[in-house]
Amino acid sequence: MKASVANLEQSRRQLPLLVKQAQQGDSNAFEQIVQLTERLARRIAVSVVPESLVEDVLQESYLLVYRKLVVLRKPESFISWFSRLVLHTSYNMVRGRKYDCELDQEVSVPDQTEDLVEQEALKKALFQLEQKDRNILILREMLELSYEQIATALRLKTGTVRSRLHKARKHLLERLGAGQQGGAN
Amino acid sequence: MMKVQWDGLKKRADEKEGFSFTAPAGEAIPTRVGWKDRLGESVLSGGLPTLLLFLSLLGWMGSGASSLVAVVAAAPLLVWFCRPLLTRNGVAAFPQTIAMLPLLILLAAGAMLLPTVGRYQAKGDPLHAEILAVVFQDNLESVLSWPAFLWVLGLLGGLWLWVRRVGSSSPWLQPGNTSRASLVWRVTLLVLLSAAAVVLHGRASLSDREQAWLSEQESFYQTRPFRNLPAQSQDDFWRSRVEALVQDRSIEVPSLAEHTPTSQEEVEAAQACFSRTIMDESVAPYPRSRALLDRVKLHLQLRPNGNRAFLHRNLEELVRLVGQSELSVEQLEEIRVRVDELEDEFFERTRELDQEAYRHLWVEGTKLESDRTIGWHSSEEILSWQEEKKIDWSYNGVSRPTPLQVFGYSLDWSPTIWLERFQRTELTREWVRVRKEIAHLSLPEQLAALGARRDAPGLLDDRSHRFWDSQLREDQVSLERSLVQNVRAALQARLQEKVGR
Repeated sequence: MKASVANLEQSRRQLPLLVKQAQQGDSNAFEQIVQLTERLARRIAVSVVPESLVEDVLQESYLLVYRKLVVLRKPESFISWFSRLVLHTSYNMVRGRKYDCELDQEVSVPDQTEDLVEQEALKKALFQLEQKDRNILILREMLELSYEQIATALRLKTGTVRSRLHKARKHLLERLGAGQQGGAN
Repeated sequence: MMKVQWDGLKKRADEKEGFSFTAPAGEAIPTRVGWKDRLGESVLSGGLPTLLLFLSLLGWMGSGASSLVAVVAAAPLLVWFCRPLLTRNGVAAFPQTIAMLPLLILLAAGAMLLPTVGRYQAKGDPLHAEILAVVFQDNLESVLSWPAFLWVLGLLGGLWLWVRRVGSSSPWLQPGNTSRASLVWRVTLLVLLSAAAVVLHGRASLSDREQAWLSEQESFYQTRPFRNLPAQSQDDFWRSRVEALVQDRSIEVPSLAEHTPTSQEEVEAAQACFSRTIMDESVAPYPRSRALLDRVKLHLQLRPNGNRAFLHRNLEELVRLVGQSELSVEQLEEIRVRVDELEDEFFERTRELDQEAYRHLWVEGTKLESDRTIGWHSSEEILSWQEEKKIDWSYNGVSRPTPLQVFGYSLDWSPTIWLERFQRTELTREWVRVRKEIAHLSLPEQLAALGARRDAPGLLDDRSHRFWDSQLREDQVSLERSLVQNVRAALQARLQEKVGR
């Protein structure tokens, strides 16, 4: 956990310069951006699409970043911008498909460990949430973004992020509670 | 407390690494923003929606090349100022835009003054505040109608959908957020505009001292006979006399003392009776003299110190009438008594000027004809208003304020009403100050001071010019009193001639 936070912090420090270089056509800088942000992209994708589609999401997301990076005016807000793009690509990937947690059945079989079962319960509860609740939880809990970064990523006011996050957590707990009761029955 | 397995999920996501991005073959990283993205950015930043909204508002307010020039000139400022009102963080702020719509309409109506200003500047014609108020009010009324309002609401709905669609389909776009410095400028401009409005609104109210002067003048004005009469009444004493006079010229017209008019209609009827008698050469000198004195008395009671031309004409006629040989000594004596009474109707000069100022600003000033538009008028038009004027083209600089028409309803407030009230208040304030300055001056010095104000460089025939011109003409106390002295002298001569007195 601490290692991942350290990685994210490292990424945040290096990214603005790399973004500027990539915006000037430096493909090596772009490759470094991919390396530094892969973990972020995976965390978003895993929370939105079945694991079989994660690689596709990453390819599509980085293609979008490759083509649209020049639009980014503030390199320091790259992580927020990138998160929004990965979320957008992830939802596009599952749009029209009847996707629910059962698509990851290979990891939710009864003989798996308790942690895995809980993770699947969390994913299922996440999928049952409204998209706005899900997005804010993913950015805060999975990516550990600050309120300001979440606000930029979701085009919200910081105050709205706080209140919406509070509600989203409450809704998630309700879903998880309902799921446990259902499982017990 | 239920534990949420975020760490487990993160760990699961982090397990797989080593993604290798494959860039499209032959496609380099773009280094320039495409026009579609630029367009999208201007949509999300609110620039393009604001421009379209203003174009629509301005389109309802005016058309033609000059309006287009105004739009082009004002659009950058309007868009800059109002852009944050339409979108925020790339999201359409629909409720906020609806709430701020009155401000947007006011700004658009203000921007559409530019064609008028440009036209007057180009022609070198005087640009009165009244002209701007009339145009501003027209601009407001053109948008505050149901068709225009529904159109604007529909457009706002369309813009909202547009921003939403662009925002969701192009997540890479980063709308230029309002910078702190830019926000400071906007707020400063808004504060300045609001402060100007508050100051102007404050100046449209009289101070206690000015209000005391106004109340004093009003109460005196109301004590004058026939000032405060209702427009109509059941009493038709004088109206029935007019009808009788029209049918039978030989009837005797009663004296004003016999029946006091009880309504404005009755006052007009009494004036008609007296005027008809005065003009009728077949009527004997005594009843004509009596009618003339009643007519003059009525006139003086309606207007402080009367109209010079009217008094001059009628008192000259009275001098001629008392010279008639048919008048008996008793009749001449009675006329003399009534001439003495007439002199009591004149005010002292300060009172006269105060009453004239009050009459001009607060009584007659609100009774302008609506068809007298501001600008140059041909002689034919002017003759239709004032038959006695034999002039060529003339400039009319004042128009009657009209209520604001909003969605078919008539409001008691409008820019023209406010401006008229503001100007009357300003002139009242100035008069309260000036009256003290000129009180100790001799009559010629007073006239020079008033004349200097009337002829001060300014606009042709505006409300201020009319006011000072009206005050300047109120130099009649001595003049009319001398006219009365003439009548008295004529009477004295006739009496001496008759009885040797």
